[in-house]
Amino acid sequence: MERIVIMARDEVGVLADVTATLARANINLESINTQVNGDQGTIIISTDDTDRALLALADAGYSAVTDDALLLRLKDEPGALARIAQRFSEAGINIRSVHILDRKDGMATIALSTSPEERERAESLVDPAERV
Amino acid sequence: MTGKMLFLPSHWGRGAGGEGIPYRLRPACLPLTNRQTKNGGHPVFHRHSNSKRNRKRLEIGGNDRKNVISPLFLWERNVHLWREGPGVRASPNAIITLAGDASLPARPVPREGEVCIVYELNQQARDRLSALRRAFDEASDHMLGYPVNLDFNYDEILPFLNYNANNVGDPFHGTNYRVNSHEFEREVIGRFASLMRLDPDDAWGYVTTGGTEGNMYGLYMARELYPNGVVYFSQDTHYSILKILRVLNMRNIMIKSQDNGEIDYDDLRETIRINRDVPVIFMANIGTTMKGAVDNLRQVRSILGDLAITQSYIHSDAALSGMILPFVPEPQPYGFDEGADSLAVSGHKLIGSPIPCGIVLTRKEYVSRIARSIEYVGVMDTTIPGSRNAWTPLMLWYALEKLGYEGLKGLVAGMLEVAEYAEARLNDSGIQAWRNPNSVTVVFPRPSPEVVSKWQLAPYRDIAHLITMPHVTCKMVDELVDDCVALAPA
Repeated sequence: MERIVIMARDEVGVLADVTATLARANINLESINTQVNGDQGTIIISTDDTDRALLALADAGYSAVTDDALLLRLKDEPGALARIAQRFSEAGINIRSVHILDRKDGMATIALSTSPEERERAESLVDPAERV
Repeated sequence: MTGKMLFLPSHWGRGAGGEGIPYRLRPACLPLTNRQTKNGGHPVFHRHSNSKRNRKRLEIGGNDRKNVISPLFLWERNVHLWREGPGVRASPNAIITLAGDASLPARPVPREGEVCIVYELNQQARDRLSALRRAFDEASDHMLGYPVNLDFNYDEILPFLNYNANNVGDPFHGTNYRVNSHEFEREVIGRFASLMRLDPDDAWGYVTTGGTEGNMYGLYMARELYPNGVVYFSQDTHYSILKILRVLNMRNIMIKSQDNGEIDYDDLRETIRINRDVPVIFMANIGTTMKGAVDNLRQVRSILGDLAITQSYIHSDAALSGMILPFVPEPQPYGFDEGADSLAVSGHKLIGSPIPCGIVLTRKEYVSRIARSIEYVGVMDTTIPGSRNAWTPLMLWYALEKLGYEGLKGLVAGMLEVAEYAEARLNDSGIQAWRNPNSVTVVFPRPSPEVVSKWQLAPYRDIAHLITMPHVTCKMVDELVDDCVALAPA
């Protein structure tokens, strides 16, 4: 099942706003999960219409991505990303793109994508503690 | 639609267009009305203004020269006038024909003495246009957050909008489509090349639809030269780059930014170090969108040198600051002399234009290499779009010709003065504001939604900015600051 990851502040009302946004767009929520790191919250949902949910969330001003990409939480320091990149490079996996989704309290949330064929092997290279 | 019958003498409009080419008249700025009088059953139109502007008039109604019609009036009603050509001979009552309805033949050939129908917009449609214009005026009076100059005047070249002009293809190659402004476009490229510190003899480029196309061209060139290269760009890079990377299917890695919006050089160095075996394509921000930060090309080159990277390419997105840095006493490194291989600048931003446009520049030698690869598909046009409008190159030429180096320098000095004023004024009012060196982008905490909406600010997360483009006055800044204070979020 395709998931959507929403980066949001850990504030009262965010979860209500996310669900209201989806309800207004007539999208059914199938599952919802939240994680909190400092004042940064991550909401992970699955819906009956991923594409429309992404559009509705983006229109409402949320930073939302599908987990086609590997989502990692790393220490926000020079070279942190490079070390991940090196792991992939040594395993012969080409990284297609690396984007920073958020940086807060010394931690950075990263979206990393590879080719679909290499996706499974890429996942095995990531420490579960680094996964969002 | 309402039909009206008109006669026009054929001598009108001679000498204005090519053989057989229809042309339209320039837009009217004055309200015009019409009323019918007795004239053999034909309507007569009177202009309702005594302004000296646009004195040119048309006669209608056969030989009765007392009755006149303003060409502006016809233009407003979307009337096409046809000059002498096949089927249109120079004799009284020759011709006028019409446009504006898809059901009409694309190009009717009128006969001598023919009576034609003028199609007009109905009142409801006219009212909508009037309302749109009022909305444009109102919005333009409160434009502080976007880097566009509203202070321009192209009246002198507006008649060129009456031609179906097309700068199709490479401005440095010939084309059989002769209604073009390639010659002027080449001059524009030469002038921009000098400002971007590239010898005009070594420069190639063209007038684009704006920064995005310029950036796409730069990265396209990089990909053609280094197909397996990885693109590095900072977190503060404009979102259009992400779209472009997707379209061009290029591998890419986003690098952290410093708090001022400049790239984090340590993170860049460490990330490139891991990927030393693949060519480096660096996407430099010469003035980031939100904070006006400039990535230091000298420092980037030094990193590439330290890591002994032999294959690299730098594209500079100099949308706004590309037209600021050439005119300040101590610019950050930004141009070809500091290692840029291609560069994109916007035309509608600092220079100002009713139509978005820009410039992409690169070295001639690179384009020759791309041309070779394009030859394989049988097309030698090295531009991305093919058909391109001929008006924006002419407009840029006109602005550069009119302002000259000193004029642009004065414009930039004025913008920096207002930026300094805005920064001080915000801070004096207890609103923490700052800006990067040589930047006209003043960053401050995101104000209330009412202020964001009224002044068309472009907020991002916790911050917003105002950009002191040439139309921005100290008075506007004062009003914004007063609004920020009065409508401060609780």
